Parts: sequence; structure tokens; C-alpha cells
Amino acid sequence: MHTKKNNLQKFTGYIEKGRFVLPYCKTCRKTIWPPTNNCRICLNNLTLKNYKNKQGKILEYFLDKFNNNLANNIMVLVELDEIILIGSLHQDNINSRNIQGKKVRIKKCGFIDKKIFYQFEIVNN
Amino acid sequence: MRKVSVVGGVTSEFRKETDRDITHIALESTIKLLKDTGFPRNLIDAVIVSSCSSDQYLSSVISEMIGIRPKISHRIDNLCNSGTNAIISAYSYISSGLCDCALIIGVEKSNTSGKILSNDFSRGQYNLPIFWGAIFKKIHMKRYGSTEEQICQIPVNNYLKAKNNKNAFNRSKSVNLEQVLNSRVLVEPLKLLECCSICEGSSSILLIADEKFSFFKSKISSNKRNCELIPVVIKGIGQQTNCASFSNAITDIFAQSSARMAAQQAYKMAGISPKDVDIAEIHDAFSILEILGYEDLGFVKKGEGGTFVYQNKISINSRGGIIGCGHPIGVTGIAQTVEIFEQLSGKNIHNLKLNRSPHVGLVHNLAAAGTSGTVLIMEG
Repeated sequence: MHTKKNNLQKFTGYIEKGRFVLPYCKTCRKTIWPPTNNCRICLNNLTLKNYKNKQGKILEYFLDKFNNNLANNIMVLVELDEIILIGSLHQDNINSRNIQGKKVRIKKCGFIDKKIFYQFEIVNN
Repeated sequence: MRKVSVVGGVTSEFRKETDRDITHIALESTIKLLKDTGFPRNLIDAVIVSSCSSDQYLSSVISEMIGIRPKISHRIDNLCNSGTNAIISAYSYISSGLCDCALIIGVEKSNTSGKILSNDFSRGQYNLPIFWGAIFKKIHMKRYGSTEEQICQIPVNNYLKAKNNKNAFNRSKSVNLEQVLNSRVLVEPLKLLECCSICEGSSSILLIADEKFSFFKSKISSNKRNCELIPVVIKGIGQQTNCASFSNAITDIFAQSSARMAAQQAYKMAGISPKDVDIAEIHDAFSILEILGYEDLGFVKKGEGGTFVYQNKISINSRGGIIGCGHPIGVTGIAQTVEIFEQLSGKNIHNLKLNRSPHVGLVHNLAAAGTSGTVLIMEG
């Protein structure tokens, strides 16, 4: 039986542990989405890179009044190394509602009700 | 390539949810189609089912139930544009000569697995379509200055048209602009009345090789049935799949979207331009998508979709669109095509007040955040 985990399984496995990794192609020097074993540009093998402290940028933000069960109700569209992710925003350090363009990083990730979640926090500096 | 025509189509009533088996929902439109056209079942050599349900080998099960033994029988699933994808597959079989006649059946239950995008991890916990609907709306408003009033006019238009469609899920509902503007905000700035309802239903359509039209017609006559067969030719097809992830779709959606590319392919194949279109079914699962549709189909320039909502040159979403009719996911593309077929074959089932008798019709059908887009052009 084939037991070696592929990158998608590794990606979700890391997410379960609260760690955020993304597949990276050393040949193309690019982060690749979605998580898979091979680069979609050159088809070479990918490695997984830790993005826990990698900074991204808020492209847009939205008041989410639909997901009442989530602790945080601001949904953000974040660009992180050319990958665009949707997540919630940790709000403790928000001083104004004008957060478009602000730098963020992953604060938390994991699973809620079998769904992956990402929570970002604004980087103050 | 052989010319391919639509010769019949029937859409069932769209309902919230019943305890009926999916095959029986499929039979509702299929049996009516076979009876209405009188088409000989032994001459149908392909049966294609469009559905996002998890029921296995549905096309063979349904074929057996209606006494058809087709050469080709399979299911197509590509989320919200499964229906037009199934029509394209049938078109290919017929135009290549592999088959002469195909029956395409779209069927869906309300609890379909197609309404949650579980394979796209770029959406995180926001994996329902309303979240990207809100994203598209906010970006369009900020980037191009489209207004709440313009975007919220789409549901007003489509609910009004659905009142004339006896099969529409929202046929008994009337909404005005104020009600849409004041409806509950789900995800800022997207409001409840700007969203379609997922429902159940079916729609069935018959495609034939145009060169065999006289032959098929003669077979119907010999069955002594009093049925009329009117061919509407599929002149152009455009199909573009750009990606499956929202992460990759969002970078294209306001530039070279899948729908824009599909429209260019379809216009080129049909040898027409946007100004030749008389009637169109535009994928309005959310109000903003109809506005993006105007732009991607070339009815207006990029960013000017908001101003097109008040026009009356092209008859748009005459059956009530997806907002008015409801959205049984794998059915929608077929129901849209049936609507265009009925309008072009002169039935004018909803008593539309058109400036001229429609000659060229267009179907615009999208999947999951525009990751894939389909455009069909038909001529009556």
C-alpha cells in the first residue's frame, strides 16, 4: 500500500496543527496554488515552505453578517506571495475601518466544522 | 462538422424541496418532452445527464426507465455550468457523426453537493458562493462606480419577468427597488434579494443532426402524432475553463474572464457580433453577475454594465433569470437553452413585448466564481 503523503495531505495536516505552509517551486521561484506535488508551470516537484510569518496585503475587506458562528466578522481578501486567500481578521489591533492595503500575516489556521479557516492579523510597523 | 439543431425542450416546475427521488424529478420534464414532440425513442442514440448529485450512473438508470438503449450514456458535472457543458458534449457527438440525436437531461435536488465548494482551500471558511458574490460586487462598485441602485435593479427586473413563468420558483413574489435595497445584508454589500435560491427541478432538451431533420420529422408523422418539430440551430459555442480555485479566478474576473473568452469564441464561430443578439439568458446567480455578463458578452464596454440595466434593446432573462426562477445547479444551463429555443421557435411563452421577433439568441452560463464560462449562440 502506498503510504507516502502527498503535498495536499501534508498541507491539510499542517493546517490541523495550526501551521501554515505552502508549496514552493525552487525552479520557478514561485509559490504555487493549489497545494499539489508538482509545479503547474514547470511540473517539477514542489517543496513545502513555512509561511507562518510571511506578510501579505489586504486587497479588500467585507463585513460578514452571514457567519454568526464565527468569532470574527470581518472577511478579508489577502494577497500572500501572489496567492489570494479569503480569511477572517483578528480585530484586537484595528484602529480604523480603513484597512485596505494594510500588511497582515496568518495569526491562526485550522479546521472549524471540518472546514479550513484562516485568521489574519494586521502587522503594526 | 455537421450542423446541430435543438428540436424540443421542456423545463419542469422549480420547487423548494420535495421527497421525490432524483430520477422521478428527471422524468417530469423528460416524459413531457417525449410526449410533446412525439420523438421516436428508438432513434435517440445519446443520453447525457447534467447533475451535481452524488447518484451514480444516472443517465443509464434514466435511459432504462424511459425505454431508451442509447449508444452513449453518461453524466456531466461542472457545477453551475454543467447544463451547457452537457449540451456541448452532445453537440460534439452529433457534429462529429458519432450520433444523430441526443437527449440531454438536467436534474438536481435542493440538497445537492454542488452548492458547497469543498475542494477550494483558498476560500477558507468562506466556502459558500455568497462570499465571492459579495467580493465581485464590492470590487465592481469601487473600481467602476456602479451603484447600489443599478445593481439592485437586476432582481427587480428578474422577479417581474418570473411572474409570467409558471415554472419559476419565485413566480408569486413581487419586489421593488426599495425592498431589494433594504433587504438583509448577508455579506457587505451583498443583500438577500440579490441572491438566487437553490431549488429542485429538471429540464430536458433534444438535439439532432440538422441534415437528418426531414428523416426524424417523417418518423414522427408515421407515428401519426400531431406534433410540430421546429429546428433552432446552434451556431456558436464558446467554452473556457480558467481554473478551479477562487485564488486563481479573482485575478482574471475583471480582465480576461472565462466568460469573456467563451463569448469571443462563440461570436467567432457564429460569425456574428454582440449587436446581432436579440435575446439572451445571462447567468444572474447574484445580481452583480448579470452586470458582469453585459460586459463580458460585449453589450457594453468594461465597467459600464451598471448603465445597461435600464436598456430594452435586447430581451434579457425573459424567463426570470436565475434570481427569479431559482437555481437547480445542474439544470440551469439547460433551462436557459430551452428558454432561448422556445423564444426563437416563435412560441413566446411568456407573452413578451419585444421590439422585433427574435432571430438570434445567446446563453451565458458560469461555474463557481467564473472559474469556467460557457456561451451558446442559437439562430431561429
